[in-house]
Amino acid sequence: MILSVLVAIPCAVSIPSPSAGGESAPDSLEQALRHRKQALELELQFAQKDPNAYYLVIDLPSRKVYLKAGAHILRACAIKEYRFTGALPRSSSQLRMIARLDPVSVEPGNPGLRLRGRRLPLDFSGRLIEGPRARSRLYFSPSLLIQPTEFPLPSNSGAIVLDSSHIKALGSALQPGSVAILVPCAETTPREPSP
Amino acid sequence: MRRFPVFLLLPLVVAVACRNSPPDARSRGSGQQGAFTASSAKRLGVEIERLEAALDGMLDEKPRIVIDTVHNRLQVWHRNRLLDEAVCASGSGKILLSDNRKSWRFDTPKGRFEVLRKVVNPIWKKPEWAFVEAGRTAPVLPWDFERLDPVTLGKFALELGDGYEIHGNLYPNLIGRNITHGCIRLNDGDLEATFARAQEGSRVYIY
Repeated sequence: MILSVLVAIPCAVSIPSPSAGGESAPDSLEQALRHRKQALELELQFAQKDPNAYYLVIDLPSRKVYLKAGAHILRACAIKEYRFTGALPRSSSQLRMIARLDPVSVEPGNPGLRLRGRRLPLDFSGRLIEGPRARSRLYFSPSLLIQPTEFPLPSNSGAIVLDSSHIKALGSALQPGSVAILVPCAETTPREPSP
Repeated sequence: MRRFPVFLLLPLVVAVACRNSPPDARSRGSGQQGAFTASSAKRLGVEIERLEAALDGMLDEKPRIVIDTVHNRLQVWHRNRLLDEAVCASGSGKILLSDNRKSWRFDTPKGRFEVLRKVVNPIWKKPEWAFVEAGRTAPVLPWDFERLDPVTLGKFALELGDGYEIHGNLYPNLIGRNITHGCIRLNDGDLEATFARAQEGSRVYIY
């Protein structure tokens, strides 16, 4: 018994946890490089798989969101503000767009109704506005919203705030299922409590 | 029963503890922590350069055209450098209905296209909707002389396929708006500059 206690104490105290990647407290430079490498790997993989598809690179260290297709930059948007509540991104990861949330609702309606299943409101000539709007939000999974400045930051998901003109353009380019690659900041990544 | 001499295991315990201790605790004051980070960073840097080179290798050598139909902006890029920007006009999204129940929706298509052909002094062969919109009856024959219009498209056109083009404009005041039948219109100066930069096979991204 004495033997097992003597062996177990130093192991429990000093073995780094597997979630820390087998390294204890890597410095922020190394962490940033690691994130960059992971992001580039993800981007290369996606760009080679579908060179015509539009995708986002959300680069938190440089505070930019890039709209890209096959590694070509199509648009660069400055991040005004961002916040991650709950689970902070630990490493570069791939997100998938779930929906564009417009400030309008889908009308269920009756089968014969002209507006059934369509979005409101109508434009000046009586047609339905179905395109992206400056107050749309882009919802990605795992939980992340890209939204304009007009909305308060959500308390239960990550959020990135862009200028509303960028939101409208990105809303036009991206479809549900589109991919976003998130590059987290080294300093925002939570660290394991030191032993 | 004879007791096991526990003190004999102490060196082993100390060795295990030292092996599993954090690197900064092991090397504090010895300068080894810096060496570890530098070599690791260098290795990562090489990997990053390799990946960036692979992504760079995917970039097209020909200038590309990027069109934002929401704000009606046309940009010309070479690799990841912006060369030129112009205000353009794009599809209105309107729907035209004819008497014989035909309908057309005037949207600019989104996605990736290519400049298929560069045309100087293009002649527009009017499709049926152009006559329906003007309240006239379209000629029966597709090659009817009445269909040919040498003025509307301006001096240059970049063909994108399916009848869509980047071309000139008769109404400079309407540039910057969503008013076209799906084509991209530019003012004369911007059209000339874009025409000069674009090559056959240049990529065109529309969103």
